[in-house]
Amino acid sequence: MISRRTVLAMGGGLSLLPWVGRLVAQEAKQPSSGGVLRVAVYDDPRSIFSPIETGDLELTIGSKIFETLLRLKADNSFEGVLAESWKYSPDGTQYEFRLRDGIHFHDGKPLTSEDVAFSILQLGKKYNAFGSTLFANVTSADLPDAKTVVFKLTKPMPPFPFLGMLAAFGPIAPKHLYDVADILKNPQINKPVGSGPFRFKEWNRSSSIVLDRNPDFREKAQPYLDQIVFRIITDPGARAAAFEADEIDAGVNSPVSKADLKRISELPFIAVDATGNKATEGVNALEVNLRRKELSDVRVRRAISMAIDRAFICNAVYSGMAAPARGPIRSDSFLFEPALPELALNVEEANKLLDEAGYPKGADGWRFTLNIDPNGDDLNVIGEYIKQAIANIGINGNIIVSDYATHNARIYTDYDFDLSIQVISTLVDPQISVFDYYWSKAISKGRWQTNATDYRNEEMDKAIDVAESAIDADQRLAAVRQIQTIAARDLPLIPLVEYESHNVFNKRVQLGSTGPVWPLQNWADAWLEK
Amino acid sequence: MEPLLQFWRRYRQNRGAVFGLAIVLTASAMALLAPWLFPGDPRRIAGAPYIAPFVTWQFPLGTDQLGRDIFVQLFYGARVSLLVGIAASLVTALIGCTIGALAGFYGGRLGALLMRGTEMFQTIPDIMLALVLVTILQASLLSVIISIAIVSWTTVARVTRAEFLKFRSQDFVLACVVMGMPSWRIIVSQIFPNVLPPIVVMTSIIAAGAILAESSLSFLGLGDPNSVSWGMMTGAGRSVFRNAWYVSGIPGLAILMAVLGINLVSDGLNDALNPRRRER
Repeated sequence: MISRRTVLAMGGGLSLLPWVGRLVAQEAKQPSSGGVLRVAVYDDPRSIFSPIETGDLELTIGSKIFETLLRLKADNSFEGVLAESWKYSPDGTQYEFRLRDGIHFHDGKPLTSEDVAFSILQLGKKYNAFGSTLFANVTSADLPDAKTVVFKLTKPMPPFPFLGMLAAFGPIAPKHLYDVADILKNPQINKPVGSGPFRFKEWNRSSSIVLDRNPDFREKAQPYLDQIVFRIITDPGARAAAFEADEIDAGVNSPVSKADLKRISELPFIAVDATGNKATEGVNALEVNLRRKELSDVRVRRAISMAIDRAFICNAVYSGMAAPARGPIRSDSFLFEPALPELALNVEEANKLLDEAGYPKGADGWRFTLNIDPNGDDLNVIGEYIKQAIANIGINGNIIVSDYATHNARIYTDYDFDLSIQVISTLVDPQISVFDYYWSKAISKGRWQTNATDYRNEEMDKAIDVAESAIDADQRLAAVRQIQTIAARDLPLIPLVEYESHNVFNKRVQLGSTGPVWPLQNWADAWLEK
Repeated sequence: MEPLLQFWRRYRQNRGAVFGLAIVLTASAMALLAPWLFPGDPRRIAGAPYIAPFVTWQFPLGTDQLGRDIFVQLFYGARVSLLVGIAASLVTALIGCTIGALAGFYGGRLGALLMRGTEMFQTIPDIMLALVLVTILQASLLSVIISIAIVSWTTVARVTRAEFLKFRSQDFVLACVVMGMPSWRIIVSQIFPNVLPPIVVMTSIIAAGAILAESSLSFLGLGDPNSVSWGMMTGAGRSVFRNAWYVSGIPGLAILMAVLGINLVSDGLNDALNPRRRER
């Protein structure tokens, strides 16, 4: 317990604001059993069958029912959950996991290596949005006995992204219940049966999802909680009010708006934590469409970058809970390249660059017009700021607001955009969700959150290839750093800010084991102080 | 000149209507004078974010999330609100009168067909249809005007049809038919002037409704993102309402006043145009 608290204290110190991370002050306490944890969530999930889902909502709820082989800790090492131990071959093509004793599904059947192989190869690889690429080289699994599974890869994969993928997006489901032809249409997915500390009880659409304590959980004293109720509250203002009225105990992934957060955090019974989402936070960036002649010139992209006052965005849009970004990987990641230059505001230099590039101001004061495509509350405000910022360098911004699906179709299918404001989430490892923005092989019409900019650079492709297959940690780190250096030089995406995401708690909630993806942990050791 | 003066005499008997007219004239003045009083982009970042109202003369009504002057935006917002109100109600009146007049004058199969069509539109909730239309047409001032007109012409059509039904069989109309006057001339020059008063009143109410509808659309982020409107200001400020009420409160008040003003004016028009109340 002591070590866990130390980790939390370290994490708390990393926050941008002094009043965030007050969980540090908690004293060592003996866990007590009982109580209902009320958690605010922002919508109905698509399903609770997390082995096929990648959304934060689905995984937050599903991870209490379905467990993963391992979990990620704050120091970026892994701890076994279902797995007792694991090892991998030096060439990165074989990963062996040994399961714990005495793990049973909620229906009493034991969890075996067959279930693990089935969940990854049949469910994750086929239905999980990231699985189709990240498990692409995982072609088979050897099952020497009921407790051992050996994944065989056709191409080497570095341990961190592979284990990280299993930790966040690889929940294990029972084969005997879900090995059916068309899982998406099977009613069984609405009756989730896993091995986790909580069992599914009921789902009242647009109201609540209730999970009951699993009395047969392998750790006899756990889970401490009797019940978890996920209350669906769609409006952020209403969630803030629910915290104030003590109607909910916890909310994850920034449950209240940044503007409300400070007020809420000043309540004596509320604690705000900035460490629990560290591995899934992201960077906001402008995707630049290089198909457009003006934007294909790197001088124009640099000029746009120089016109933006990132500190202003941090203060005005995120109330100080953000920091200027320097690249697509957050500066608090161990993969960050510290030599990246700061992206400073310099309107004069930007104007000079545009003149040099051959785009003088016209009679109306404009050099040319660019469309700006934001999508989402915060991003819309950033869009308005970008319009003002580029007006200072003689570029006329035209904001286009569309709904989520239309927006993504414009960017990723029609490529009908100039500047799009996008959140680039790291999701444990950049290999899972960042490299695709820069990789020329990831230009794939219709696939969201990939290379829409039409950026093609051999040097970059080579670096990504190395980063995606280097087993040696140092070699991989060097490649990831090189990716960031090239990205900063070519700016196919213009980094804006890295924002902080918060979990909000009533102080009676004791988190148990903490980590950088706390919402996706099984919460078996979370408890409520009486 | 004399009838106009008489009209004004009747209109001013309704004190509320005079007050409403004052509001509408103020809003119109704000809209017309905005570019002269405050040249340049009203959305430009002018100062520090979240300056409260009545703190500094530089920003009499304070600044919003990005440090934009609320006072200046209020003036420019009047342009969009009034433009949408006027344009949408005129388009509405045009569609509604045409369909209502045809249905009422000709009746029969054509009338039945047109009225069933009208009812079909009436069964769809206004704001839902407007949301869908704006989403499909992509958010811009024109698409907002079009979608508001498409959802609100039905009442005008029904009122016009009822009036036309009433007049169709009256003696002076029958006389025109006997004289061999073409139908379109009877509609335009004989019946229409008689049905104008209720339509004018109806249209002014629709103008108020259009301002509200535009505000709702903008509040939900579906207005024209490149121009300032009161609804958009209200919507943008709602996330900070507990900390900086004025960002959405002030434009909200402007919407309230404008809609109230137009409703009072239409009340006054109703009184002044109603021949039965002339003697009062």
